[in-house]
Amino acid sequence: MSQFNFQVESFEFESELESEVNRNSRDYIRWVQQSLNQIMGLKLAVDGIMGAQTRSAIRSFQQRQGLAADGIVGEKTEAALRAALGGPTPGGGAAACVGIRQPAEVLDGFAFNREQMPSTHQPAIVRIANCILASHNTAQPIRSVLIAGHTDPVGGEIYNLDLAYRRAEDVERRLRAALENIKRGSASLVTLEVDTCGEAQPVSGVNAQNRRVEIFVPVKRRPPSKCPPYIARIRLHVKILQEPTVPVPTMLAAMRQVYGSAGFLVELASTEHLNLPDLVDLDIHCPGSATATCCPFPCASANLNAEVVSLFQNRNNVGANDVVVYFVRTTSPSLAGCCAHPPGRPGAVVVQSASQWVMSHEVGHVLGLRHFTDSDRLMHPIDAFTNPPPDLVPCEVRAIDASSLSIDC
Amino acid sequence: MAVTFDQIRQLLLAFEPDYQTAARLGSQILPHLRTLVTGSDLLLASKAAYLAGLIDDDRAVELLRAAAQHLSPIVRVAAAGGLRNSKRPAAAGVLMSLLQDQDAGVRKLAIKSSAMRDNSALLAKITDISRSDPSPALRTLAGKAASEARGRRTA
Repeated sequence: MSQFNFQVESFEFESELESEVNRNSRDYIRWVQQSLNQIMGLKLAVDGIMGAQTRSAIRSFQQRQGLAADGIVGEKTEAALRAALGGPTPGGGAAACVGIRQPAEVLDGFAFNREQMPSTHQPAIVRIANCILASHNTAQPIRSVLIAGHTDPVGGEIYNLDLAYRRAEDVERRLRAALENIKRGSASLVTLEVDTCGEAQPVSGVNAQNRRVEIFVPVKRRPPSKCPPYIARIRLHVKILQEPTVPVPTMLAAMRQVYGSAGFLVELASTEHLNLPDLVDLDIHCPGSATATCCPFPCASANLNAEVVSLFQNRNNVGANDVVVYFVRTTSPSLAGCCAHPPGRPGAVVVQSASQWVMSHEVGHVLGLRHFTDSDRLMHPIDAFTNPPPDLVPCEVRAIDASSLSIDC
Repeated sequence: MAVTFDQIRQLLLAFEPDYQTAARLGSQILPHLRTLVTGSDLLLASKAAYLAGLIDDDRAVELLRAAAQHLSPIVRVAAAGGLRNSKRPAAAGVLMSLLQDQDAGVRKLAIKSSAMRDNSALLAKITDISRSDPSPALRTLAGKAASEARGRRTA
């Protein structure tokens, strides 16, 4: 098992610089939109435009805070936003970081099979460089930034790993240049870590949106973890139709080895034995198909047969963001496990004769991870790892962290 | 180019094997599948049995016949499921034996696979199961399967 130590560090500005806040600037409006989304669970476009929806959201926030609901962000409303966020302020030094999206600034629309960043993203690069340098006048300077490259799914996996890396390198060069341009010698004060996710983390069915680089600039305070050293937890429910040959505690221990070292606490929320003899040998063929298997990725699918749907209805004591693992005797076709589940009922199936890693692997799929041809990684498609326990790499850690199924402690 | 045992084993060690791709290797892999079906790893044995059903060869049916007599129901279930893909007439005989298996899970998959074949003897057996199987769920499944099979015949 290899080690890595990447973490999105906690950060907040504790002192402010001398600059004035321009409440009409796009950066400021972006901060307002982002703040409203965070506080009120909205999905306002963070576009820096004070449109009708943003105004309406401001009014709602003001009403909730007992302020005059005029839809205008003045000092009082800004203070209320700051208080509700409990984090960084938009004023002074922090203003340089307003508008930088969290957890990552996304630079997409790279040309097909090209590593050069589209020039339209240059303002974002400058904004990030300004943010980094402004932070150096605070108590918690940004010392490290992660730059992760991505591709669309077209082409070979190995080629795409390299292409994504080159894209990240190109952005890293531009960010370094922007830092130097603003302040000579400043680039050496920041570690710009470059990583590749290849094609493994698509965000859209539109290929241009997948051809992207993500820049993780830690400008926001992460809520302090209540379960250190873990950053979040995965709540697991085990439902046993057939006791597996490798005992559940052994599989759970294996899963904790893999996910624990990546910062995720695996919590066994419940264990239940289900007496469902009709489902213990689970048919996972697609509905109405003689031969096609319905074990897709992404795992949530409405195209599942009645047996699978019936099994996943068994969610006693299971929360909306909890994951259920059903232990069956076999599947037909014969698989070690399958992550297919009806939408809104996250879970996976594991068969009786599965190895200790199958539960970890299938839950990895449920959390949004796809296969990868590196035999040292959990998502290797073959149950034969070169250096067990298998790894989760930074790209996968971020994907899990972003999943609604990794929850606060 | 000859496919080695290790290559087949590797293919079937996949968490979710790509059976369609593996089946394109054809009947040359049947000896390897037989080794796996008779081996000690039940998961690999069941995967090998299922894969055999996708290979259009009488020797594959013989392999499925062996899998259908395996001591472990895990492998017999895989044989019953794999037979849904076999186009060989001899597969009907193997299914007939699996329809009478003592394990309800094996019978369930055998009913599903039998329902996909246009075979009078299998249809009669499924009809019989729909009346007399000890499992109410299997009686229902068999009744539905028999009804659908008859519907296809008259259509």
